[in-house]
Amino acid sequence: MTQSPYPIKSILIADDSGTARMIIKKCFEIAGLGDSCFFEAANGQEALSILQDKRVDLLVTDLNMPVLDGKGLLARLKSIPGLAGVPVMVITSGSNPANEKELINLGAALVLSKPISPASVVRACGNLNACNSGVRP
Amino acid sequence: MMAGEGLAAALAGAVVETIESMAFAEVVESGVSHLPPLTGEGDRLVALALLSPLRGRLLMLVDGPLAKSLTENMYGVDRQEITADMEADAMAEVLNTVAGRAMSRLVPPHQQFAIGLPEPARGQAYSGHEIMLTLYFDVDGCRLELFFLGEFK
Repeated sequence: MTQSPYPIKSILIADDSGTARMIIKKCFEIAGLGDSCFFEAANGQEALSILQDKRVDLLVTDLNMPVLDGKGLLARLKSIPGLAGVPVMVITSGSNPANEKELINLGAALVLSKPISPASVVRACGNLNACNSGVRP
Repeated sequence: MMAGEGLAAALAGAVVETIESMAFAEVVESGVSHLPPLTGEGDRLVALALLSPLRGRLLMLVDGPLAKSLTENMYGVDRQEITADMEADAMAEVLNTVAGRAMSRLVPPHQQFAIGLPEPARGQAYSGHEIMLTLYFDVDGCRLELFFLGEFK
């Protein structure tokens, strides 16, 4: 596991599927982040509430969710000064280069396609370190 | 509307890739005559809308015992720990992933696509729609069916 410029001590997973949240969490644990604190949300609105209440070092979010979807969550996050710096990894079944480009333009740090694997998480976290531009307060 | 062969190949490839990756089961596309019949016990039917640029509806029918074993593999727990809600959610997530993988194969990379949320379905999921494509799969000796439905004009 690549050493982070700042440690990823807490991860928020937002996905309306409990199965998906379980798989994502397992992949992060196998990838070496098992000591991180994991929070879970079933939609973007729940995720925002957690982000405003807890320190989150990485937001992992699906796109298609009820109440508030991934794009809406991303847009809201980037508009909140204290939360705009939280890196966002989108893990979605609806990914292709065009969709990915839109998400990156909206502020996502990375986009991964489902089904994910521990290996893809390791690569993504390495890329996340390369993309990160500073240390969070 | 995509050419029939392209759609069938994309869907079949997505089913194989998804189930093998998520549930570690061997998947083989098969002719219907080579498959065991559905047991009729706890079959799972899941639906998902394809929104753009391809419009239609996917339905996935999973034989009951297969749904249980796939869920067991995905969660990595014993069968008695699997609840009906976990099973329904797992099958929904499988179809969600199949749909996304299929669309990424079909749609040109420079074009965005959109799919809906998966949801449990009943028989009425077929009504008013024409079944335009049916695919059959042997998954570890059990039956899985995937339907692509269009809309009556």
